This record gives sequence, C-alpha cells and structure tokens, in this order.
Amino acid sequence: MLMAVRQSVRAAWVKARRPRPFRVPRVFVVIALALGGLVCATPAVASGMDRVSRYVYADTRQLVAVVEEAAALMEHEGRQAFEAFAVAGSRWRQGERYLYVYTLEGTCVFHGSTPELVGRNLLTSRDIDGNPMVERIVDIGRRPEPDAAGWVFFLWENGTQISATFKSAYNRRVVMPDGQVLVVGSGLYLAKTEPVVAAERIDDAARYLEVIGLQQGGAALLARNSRFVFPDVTVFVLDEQGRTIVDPAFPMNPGRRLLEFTDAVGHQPIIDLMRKLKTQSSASVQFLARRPGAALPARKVIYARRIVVDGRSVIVGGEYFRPTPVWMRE
Amino acid sequence: MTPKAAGLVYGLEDRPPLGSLLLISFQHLLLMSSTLALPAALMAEIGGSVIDGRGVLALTMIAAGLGTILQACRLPGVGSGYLCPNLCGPNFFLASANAAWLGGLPLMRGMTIAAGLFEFLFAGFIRRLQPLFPTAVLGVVVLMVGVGLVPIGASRFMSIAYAGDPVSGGRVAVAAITVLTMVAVNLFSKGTAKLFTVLIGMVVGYLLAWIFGYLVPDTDAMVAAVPWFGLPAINTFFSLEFRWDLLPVWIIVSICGALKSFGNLVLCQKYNDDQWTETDIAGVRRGLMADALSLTTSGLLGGMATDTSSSNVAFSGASGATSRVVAYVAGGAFMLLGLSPKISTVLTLMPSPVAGALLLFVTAYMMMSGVQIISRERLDSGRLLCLGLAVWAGLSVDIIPSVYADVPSWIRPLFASSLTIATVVAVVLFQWLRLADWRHGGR
Repeated sequence: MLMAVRQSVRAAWVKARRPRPFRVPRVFVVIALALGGLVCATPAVASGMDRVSRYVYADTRQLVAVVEEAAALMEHEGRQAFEAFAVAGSRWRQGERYLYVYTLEGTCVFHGSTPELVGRNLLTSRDIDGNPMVERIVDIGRRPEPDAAGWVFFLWENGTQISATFKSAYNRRVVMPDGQVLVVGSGLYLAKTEPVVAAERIDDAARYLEVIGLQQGGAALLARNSRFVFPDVTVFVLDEQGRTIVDPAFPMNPGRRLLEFTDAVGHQPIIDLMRKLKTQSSASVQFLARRPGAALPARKVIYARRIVVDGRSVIVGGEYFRPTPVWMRE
Repeated sequence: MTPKAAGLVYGLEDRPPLGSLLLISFQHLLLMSSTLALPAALMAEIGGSVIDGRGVLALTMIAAGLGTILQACRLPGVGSGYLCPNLCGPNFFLASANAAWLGGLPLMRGMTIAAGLFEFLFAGFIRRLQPLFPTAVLGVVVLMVGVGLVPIGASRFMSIAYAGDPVSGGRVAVAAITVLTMVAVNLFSKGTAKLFTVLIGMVVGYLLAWIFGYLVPDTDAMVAAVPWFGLPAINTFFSLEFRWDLLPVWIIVSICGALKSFGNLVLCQKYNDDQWTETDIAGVRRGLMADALSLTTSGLLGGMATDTSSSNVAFSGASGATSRVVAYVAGGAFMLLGLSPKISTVLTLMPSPVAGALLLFVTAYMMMSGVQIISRERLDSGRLLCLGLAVWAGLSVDIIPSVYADVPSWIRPLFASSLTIATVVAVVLFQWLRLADWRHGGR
C-alpha cells in the first residue's frame, strides 16, 4: 500500500517536472475575472456604520464605532453591559479611551477610569474654562431622536499631564430595556479636527447669530466656555470687505482687514473664500501656517458660511489645522 | 535585436501568448493604478467637484497610457523601446496641490506643461551630462528612488494614514500575508509562474480584505454611483495659467522626475542585458523625451503630472517579463479604462493592506537593484565614502526634514526630496574625485 502511494507520488512528481509548453492555468483567468467582480460585490455597509463613515480619521471612526456598539450592547443587555465595559484592555477600555454613562439628571452610573464618580450627580460640574460638560452630554440624551448623538468638547486631565488637555467626546442616547434613557460616551484627547464636525459647529454658530444677532451673539461666540470654542477652532465673523466684526485675535478691537491676508506661500485665502462665497452659501479654502513649535508650515482649513444678520450680509467662519498624511512631506 | 537576458521568461522582443500577455498586462495595470488615489486626493484638497475629479483622473490615465506606449516605441528621437510604464507621479503631488490651491486647475496645468518642457531641455543635454552620472551614481539614483517610495509604502502597509491612527493587527496581518505570498511565489515557483507574482498576491490580499471587512468603506455605493462609460469633462480645457514664482519648485520636481526616469531606464537596460556594464545614453535620452512628452501631454489635456513607474519596472524584473508588447497592451488598456468611470473607480479603491504589500514588494526589489548597480563598479575607498555620504544626505532629508526647514530659500529646492540631495552630493563628490585623479595623473 505504502509502496503504491510512494510510486504514484513519484510519478506525479516526475510528470510535474517534465518540460512542457506553457499555458496560462485557467484558474488564474478565473481568479482575475473574479477579482473585479469581488470588488463590485462588496456587501453593503450596515446602516449603523453610516455614522462612522462620515468621519475622515481612523481614530475618530474607531471611537464612534465603539460608542455605537456600546449603545447597542446596553440596549440589548441593560446594565449588565457595564461589567464588560470595565474590563481593562478590552475593546471598551484601552489606553486613554474608556466609556462613561450618565442619566438624564446628570448622575454618573458608570465610569471606566474613575469608578468613584459613580452615583454622584455631576450636572453642575465645570471644566477649567467653565464648560458645563455633563450638562451638554445630558442635553444630547434629551433630544427627541431615539438614537441622538453628538460631540462635546472640554478640558480634562488625561493622567499623563499635570494640566488639563482638550478632550473630544462622542455621546449617544440609549434607551435601556427597562425604558430608562441614558447617555453613553467616550472621548479622545487632542483629537484631529474632523471637517464634518467643524462645519457643523460653524453652521451652528451661524444659526445662533441669525437668531441672537451680532451684538449679543458676537461676544458669546468668543467666550471660553462657549460651545463654539473647541480644539484648535476659533470662530470669526467678517463683513463683505473682509474686515473682522468678531475677531478671536483682537476681541476688544475688531475691524482688522483680513482681505489681503497672505500665507507662507503667497496664497491669499480670504480673497479665494470671498470669490467662492459669491456663488455658494458655504465654502472651504486652505492655506499654510505654522503649528506651535513646528519648523515646517502645515495646512490650515477655513470653512465659512454667508448669512444675513441684523439686515447685513456677513461671513461666519472658523479655521483649523488639517493633519498631513504620514507619508507626505510638508 | 537585443539577445534575451538569461533570467527572463519573456524578453524585450518576445511576444507572450495571448493569455499570458493579458495577465501580465493586467498586473501592470494594477501597479499603474497604485497612485490613482492621488487625483482624487488632490481634488479633495482643493475642494473640487466630483465631475472635475473624475475628469482629472480620466485625463491622467489617458496621458499615462499614452506615455507607456510612447516609451515602448522606438520612434525617431522619442521612446526608449523598453517596458517602462507611466503612472500619476507621486513626486509631483505636493507641487500640483500647491499650484491648484493658488490658481486652480488652470495653474496646475500650466505648471505641469512647464515641467514637461523643462524635461525636454534636460533630455536634450543628457549626452553632455553623461560624465556626471557614472554607474555608481546611477545606482544611488535607483536606490534613492526606492527609498522615496518607502513612506507611502509603509503608510499603506500599516494602514496608518495620519499620526495617531490606531494600528489594526488584522490589517497588518493581511498586508504581511499578501507580501509573503508574493515573495513565496517569486522565490519558489519555477519559470512562468513567476509572471503572476503580483496577481496571485493581490488575489490573496483582496480575498482576505473582503473576508475580514477591510475593503474601502462604501466601495459598492461609490462604484454604483458612476457610469460605465463617460468622456472626461473638459470645461477648463482652454484655460491655462502660469506663475514665475512657482517655476523654481517645478523645475526641481521636474529634475527629480527626470532623474527617477533616468534610474528606471537604466534598470530596464540592466534587466534586458546580462552583460550590462554601462548606460546606453542615447536610449536614456529617447526615454526621457518620451517621459517629457507624456508629462506635457498630461498638462495639455488637464490631468495630473505623470512619471515613469519604478514599481512597474521593478516588477518586470522580478517577474521576468520585459516584453514591450506588454507596454502596448497595458498602456492601451489604461487609456481605455480612463474612459470608464466605473472601472477607474474600482482601481482607485485598492484596500490599504493590499496596496502596501504591493509597494513593499516592488520597493524592496528596486532598492536592492540600486545596490546591485553600485556593486557592479569597482570602487576605491574614496568613492565608497562619497556614495555613503550621498546616501546619508538623502536619508537625512527623509528622516528629519525639519532640520532643513530654515535653510536659505535659494538653496531650499535642493532639499525637496532625498533623491535630489543624494544625487547632487554624489555627482559633486564624484566630480571632485575625478578632478583629483586627473591632477594626480590617475584615472
């Protein structure tokens, strides 16, 4: 029996080594054809992932995915999910990332990094700039949509620095199996500014100004605890001639002419922005600027919207650094 | 007729059977597509419309396809006759993005044309410049072209686009299995199976990416949203702009592109000739002319700048198929695919681990080809030291670019890339040694 097997293997080996004219194996042709089909036949992305795919950066997408999955787990398992959330090194608690859960009254019911906060009502707590962060987190849970979600920005200690660091937290409303409404969230320290989040926040500032007016709203935009101040984004308002009406650099002395502002390579982004806003209600432009401590200039984005406030046309905008891909030299 | 080199399955003059020809050309197409994400990224940078983006992509593909065919031809004065395909040039990306920010697509087109015209000039003088490029210096050029591909390859391999992105063990594993598959096929397969190194690796990579959900999100929706056939938008066709202040940067980028093509063409000569010892400068000149023509055409049409593809050249050597017929088929197909938004979209959506594995495979091959070229020349200790200094200078620009941030503006273009500074240092030091030898009555 063994001999027979050995002989057949040997025969196959000899046959395989025999020189013969080359023909493309059919399997390769089939595989090549399948390759194109495979890409087209990608399974549809689950609807829950829509919220993830609107973000550009992988760390933001990961954070949003974790919070959305945590919300789904809570809706299914109730408070039992908290046991899984507490496991260090798990998907729910890794490095600086942890989950927290609040009731709509502001009572902490779960905290991944500081369990001592559980059971305490933190609704009135503020960060160093006076941001009522828990109140803003809870406000998301009070929205009418069953799966309301949103971002809250505040300064918080991250365990590796003495001073507080900007934290961008994604929060999601959860309806528990017993009908109680909670808010689950998690955050990133010094996160990259997502274009979609910046645009939403600046659009929000524009709507706020339309309602409140320039006089009252302008000052509120620049307050350190304003919801329109968030990591590395500052909101400004310009008139049609490119002069500042709300100026984050000179809050007490607006009227600076920004029209001829020129960047590191001679680009005049405000002129470009004005040109775009003649035909569009909102627009983005880029320019080069140095980050603190950096030797080379990096890309900065201005997103702006034209609105009418107090009977005059103005431009509400904000600027933020856009990260450079790791492979690209600035 | 050039005799076929020993390691080749299909040499320059061979005509592979139809099945093999199509599959080899398909692999070259995949490699040529590896930078097609750049036009889309450029349009995202400048906030261009989807239609404009599609137009730039299509016109870039048409120009690159045309360049591939021209390069393989041996027309009077144009075309090296080698399989040295063109693609959307990554080294032009920053200059293109900068021009597009400042003056939109018309300025990018104008500056691309200027870069193409400058390359014509460079090619015209290449015979006089030949003494500047002895074999060892060309080896450094080839090596540094490979080094220049390392950042984008590593970024794709690790699936890290921006600093701070989380590392996905699964994605890295898919990339590693893909590249190991390519290496295994290349090392252990006999004869013709080597031709399908990239294809087999990519099929494995795509399958794993599909199984583990690493395909680009919304691939199906993005592919479904575009038509099978569509002529590129030419609304900016007659609009051209030019700025003198951008010219120095574009000249440097053009020289970098020309040096890269120089290295690629030398590699083509080496792959096709077992006895290769010195560069056929007339062939290089014709090749650079074809490259310049492709670059100028891309600017005239409205695409992004094109350049010869180091990945494709390295792959042709690794697979043992350098037949110029492959260039005709791959180039023609690339032009046609440019007219199909659906297929060009599929090509731009290559999963990151697969693209990273592909770039790693060809970059490693290319860098070692550079080392091989250097080792062909008997070098004394002085010349070895010069090469070491050149490589050191080049690597320092890539590893710690910030130390060169405040060099005076007139000398800054020299530090635009590792390739430029390494080449300049190697050329200057070799000429210095040559002068010293001459003074001492040596060689």
